[in-house]
Amino acid sequence: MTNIPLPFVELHCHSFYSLLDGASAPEALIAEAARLGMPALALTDHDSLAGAMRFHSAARKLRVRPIFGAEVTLHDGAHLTLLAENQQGYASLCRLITRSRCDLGTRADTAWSGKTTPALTFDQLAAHREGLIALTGCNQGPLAHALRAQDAAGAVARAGTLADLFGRGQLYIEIQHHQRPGDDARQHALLEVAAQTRLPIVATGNTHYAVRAHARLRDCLLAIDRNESLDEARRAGALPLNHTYALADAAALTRRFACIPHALANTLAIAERCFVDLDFGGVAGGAQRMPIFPVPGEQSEFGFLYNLCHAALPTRYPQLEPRVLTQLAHELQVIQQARLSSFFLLVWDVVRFARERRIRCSGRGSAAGSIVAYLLDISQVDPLEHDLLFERFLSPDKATMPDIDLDFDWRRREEVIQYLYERYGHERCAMVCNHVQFQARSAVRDLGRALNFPDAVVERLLKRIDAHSPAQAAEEIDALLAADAPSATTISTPGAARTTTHPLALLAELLRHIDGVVRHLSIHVGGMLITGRPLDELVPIEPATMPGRYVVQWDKDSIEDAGLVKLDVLSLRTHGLITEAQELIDPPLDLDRLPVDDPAIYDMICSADTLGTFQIESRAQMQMLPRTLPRNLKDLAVEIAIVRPGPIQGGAVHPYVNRRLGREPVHYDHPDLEPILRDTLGVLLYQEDCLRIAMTIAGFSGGEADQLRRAMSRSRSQEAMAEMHDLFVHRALARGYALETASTIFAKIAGFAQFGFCRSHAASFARISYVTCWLKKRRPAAFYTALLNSGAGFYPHDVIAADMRRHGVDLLPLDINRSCWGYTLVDAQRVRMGASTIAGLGEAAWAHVESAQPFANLRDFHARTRLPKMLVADMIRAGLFDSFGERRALLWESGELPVGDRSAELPLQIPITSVALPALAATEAEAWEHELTGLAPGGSYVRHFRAALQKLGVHSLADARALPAGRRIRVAGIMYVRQRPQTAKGVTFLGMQDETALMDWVVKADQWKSFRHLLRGDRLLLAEGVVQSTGSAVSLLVQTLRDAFG
Amino acid sequence: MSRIWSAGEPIDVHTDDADAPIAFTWNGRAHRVDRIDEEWRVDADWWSEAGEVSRRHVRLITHSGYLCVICQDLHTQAWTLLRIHD
Repeated sequence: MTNIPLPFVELHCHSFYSLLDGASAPEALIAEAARLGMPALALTDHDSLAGAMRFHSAARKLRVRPIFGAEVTLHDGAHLTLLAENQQGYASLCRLITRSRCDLGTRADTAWSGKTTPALTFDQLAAHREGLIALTGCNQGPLAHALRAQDAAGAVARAGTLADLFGRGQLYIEIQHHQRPGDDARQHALLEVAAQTRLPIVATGNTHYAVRAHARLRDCLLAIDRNESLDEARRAGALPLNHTYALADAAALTRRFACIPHALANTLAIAERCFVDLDFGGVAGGAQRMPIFPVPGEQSEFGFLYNLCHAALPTRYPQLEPRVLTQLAHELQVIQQARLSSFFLLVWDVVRFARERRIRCSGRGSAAGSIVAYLLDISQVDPLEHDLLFERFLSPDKATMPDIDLDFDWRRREEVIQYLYERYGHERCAMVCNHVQFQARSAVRDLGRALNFPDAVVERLLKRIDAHSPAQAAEEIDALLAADAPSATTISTPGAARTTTHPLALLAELLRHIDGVVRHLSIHVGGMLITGRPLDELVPIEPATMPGRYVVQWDKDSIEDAGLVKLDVLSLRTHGLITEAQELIDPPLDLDRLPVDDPAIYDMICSADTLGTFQIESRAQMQMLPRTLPRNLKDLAVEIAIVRPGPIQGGAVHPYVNRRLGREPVHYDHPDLEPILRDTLGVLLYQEDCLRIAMTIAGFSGGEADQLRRAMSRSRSQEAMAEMHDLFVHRALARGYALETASTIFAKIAGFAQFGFCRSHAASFARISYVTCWLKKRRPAAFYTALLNSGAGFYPHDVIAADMRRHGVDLLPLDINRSCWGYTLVDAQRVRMGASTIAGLGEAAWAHVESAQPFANLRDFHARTRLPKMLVADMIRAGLFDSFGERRALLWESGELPVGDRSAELPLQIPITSVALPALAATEAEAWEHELTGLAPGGSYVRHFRAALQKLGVHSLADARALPAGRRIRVAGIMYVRQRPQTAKGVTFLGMQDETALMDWVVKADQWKSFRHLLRGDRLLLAEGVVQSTGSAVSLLVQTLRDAFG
Repeated sequence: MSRIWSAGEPIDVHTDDADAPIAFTWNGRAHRVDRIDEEWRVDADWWSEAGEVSRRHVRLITHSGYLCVICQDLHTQAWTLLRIHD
């Protein structure tokens, strides 16, 4: 026995990627391992390598050797710890986890099996054991299973089986001790098995959190997983007996395993054997990261790409300038060096497929900075004309792979995804996943349930929480506690054995710990990973919830860190809108070739008449447009980029507006910035400009600038940005810039960490935005029809319908013999409501109705459709049968219609009892329509209250918008949107409408609490306040708010 | 015969350098520990109104042949006797 701490490496460790079991981030585990002096650490999440890349990056940073493993689940539910000894072992691990979750790769038809509980057979283990070291597992391991059943011989037999399977030297008897009753006996029994089988032993800690402070969170996660309270989970034996599952220091382990020091020594021996590199973009893995693209003839991939680009030159650049050829040659050289020809060809092929099938698509993001992308028709934006930066997309020393985002018509994106599956196979093509973290509300609900808070208490609490993240929610709860009982956060009785914490303080503590914890994996909105090597050698694949879909276990950040290339196949509703509008326009028009210089369109944009248009329709955008006054596509790109958290937090908005309006001179923080920021008037708006500044001021290389860009745009960016700050300032000082200048400039760059836009992205969006504006101005009826059908934008249909009426297009009501499923264009001034607006009416039922149109009367309709009477009643109330008579009478008639399928009965005309019913009032009819369809074709119901409102001295919103700033007025309206942007310091913006116009009402932070209870449902609210205006951007600063007739 | 105290009987415990109990005094009578059979730890009920339980349990055999379970509250460091079997 020894008291001197023995070196130790933890080989059995769970992060929170062991979903609802582990409680710490991979980074926290590595940091604690480094603090404890561990030279290496293994990550062995349950049937998962989802956290492997984060673990790898964190380990590399702190110089701890990462060991990749997993605790896999066997077919009988037993756990087995597997560690990858080398690259082959890592690939085996990926395959095994994939096999444990789906049949992918083992069945020819790759049939989607849905989400299942992971389970591995011994045959599967035997087939993929290469390069793996196995430990016999925890208390749920196969040996422990046998020992629990008092079957020592069985344990020995199982150890023998595993030794035969993995080979001697590759299998260790795993010894754990967690200070539980029976642990001593189990340890002795396992040592006996080791002695009988002559297998080596190794000690592990079965770590589930980095530090003991996270133990409570783990208890909660276990309860959340069972949807139980902590009390219930404890009674069910689902909680661990104690909190000894933190990474342990060597001294504690030496004491714990004092009689078997070689069990500790073996941890080091194993660690020294394990080496895996996850950089698949490097020299070793790069050759196979992309599939080989089948090119015609004897050409190389690069040769084919070269020819495609040059063939497109005459079309794209009829006036061929030398700079075009220079830029093209440079890009092709970089692409060739980076061995990305196949990637470009793959994307070209997808776009070609879409265009051949008339699926509208466009490239966006940094790809628009590439002339190659422009020539391949991937992007519609000329990078030279818009001064876009290729290096934002790809540079010779760039550490990461390029990211190409493609938007497709939302109705047909699935065809593109299926094409990719078909072309590359499920083995090489899968969707990227999202690691979905606990959000404030879900965390409060889940933790509240665990802590046994009554549902009513949780609901009441949620009403007082506005935060997005759990940590922010904790701050809000702290504030509530401080306000309610300043001294009540901790209750301790002098001399008492225990200290109790106020339940809300406990909740706040847990919310802080749960912040950032991954709750589940979901499917990424459109990211697809396509590789040359079989995917399941690189990352485990599992079935998604969506039928037919598979996801890899890595999110987009992990894919990028691994040097793999992802293609974003996104759906854009606006593409559907444009496609449909184009189909409705007569004579036909090619909207892709629309000139973008119509002054009337920019006049409309400057007056903020942009509801329903792409990217510039939001309440915030409408406030900004009359101030920035865009007059061309570049201005429009600025507009799209400026109303973002990045420029707002970076302090860019007011300077840009003031300079644009000539209210202040254009100023540069340093003269060297002028060439970069000239066209944005000295203001930092675009990611590319950040990169150019970093390269100019701090001498960053293209690769370093890209690191900065990644730090700015990532969800885990705070630490990375701090590192970049030090590097930036250090380099700038060395190049002779003053400390203050360097710090000021970096502070503005850091503002972009909250989602700044890239110039190429904005340019790409600006064009789509212009097309939608053109449609709204020049072909309004087609535009509104397509807008209402596409679901694009974020305005509800009643707001769009009101805007439509203001633009001279009437919305015709539902009609059983004229309506289709969607909205339909009647003529240049009229759009007909579609049956899809009726709640509860499915498309299949309507297809049945449509096939039987026209109908003579309600009885005829009923006889030939036999829809349920409740549904028919709703259709009557929605106004669908108004052409057959008055709604009350029709409802009466529907009550006497026969029930069920009576197709065999004789067509006798049974008389209907006639009653005299009062006609429905217009307000009642509209209330029914609004209830069932969400809109009333006759117009906003506020008009019915106008006379009463006038008696209260209430202005219409249209009138109010024309009043001078500073005027104190009274207005009324219905809220259609409520926003509390994080950048607005607690100010809430209410989008309000009446029958005449829309208007923003602004509620200051200190009034929010007294008004928030009013902001639910379709209430008619009456406000008193002061008119604010900047140009034609008008809003009301609210002073009082109440129900109009409350 | 066994005796069980759910709340525990207060005892004084002497421990060695490794913090292992070597003797305890109960009802004025000293009991020397012959050997420790098993130790375990309990961390529970931290969410309850009564507050967190954090205890070290030791099952031991005294020189006089009693099998006892004693328990140390890790907040107060106080020891109690929970069970005794003769």
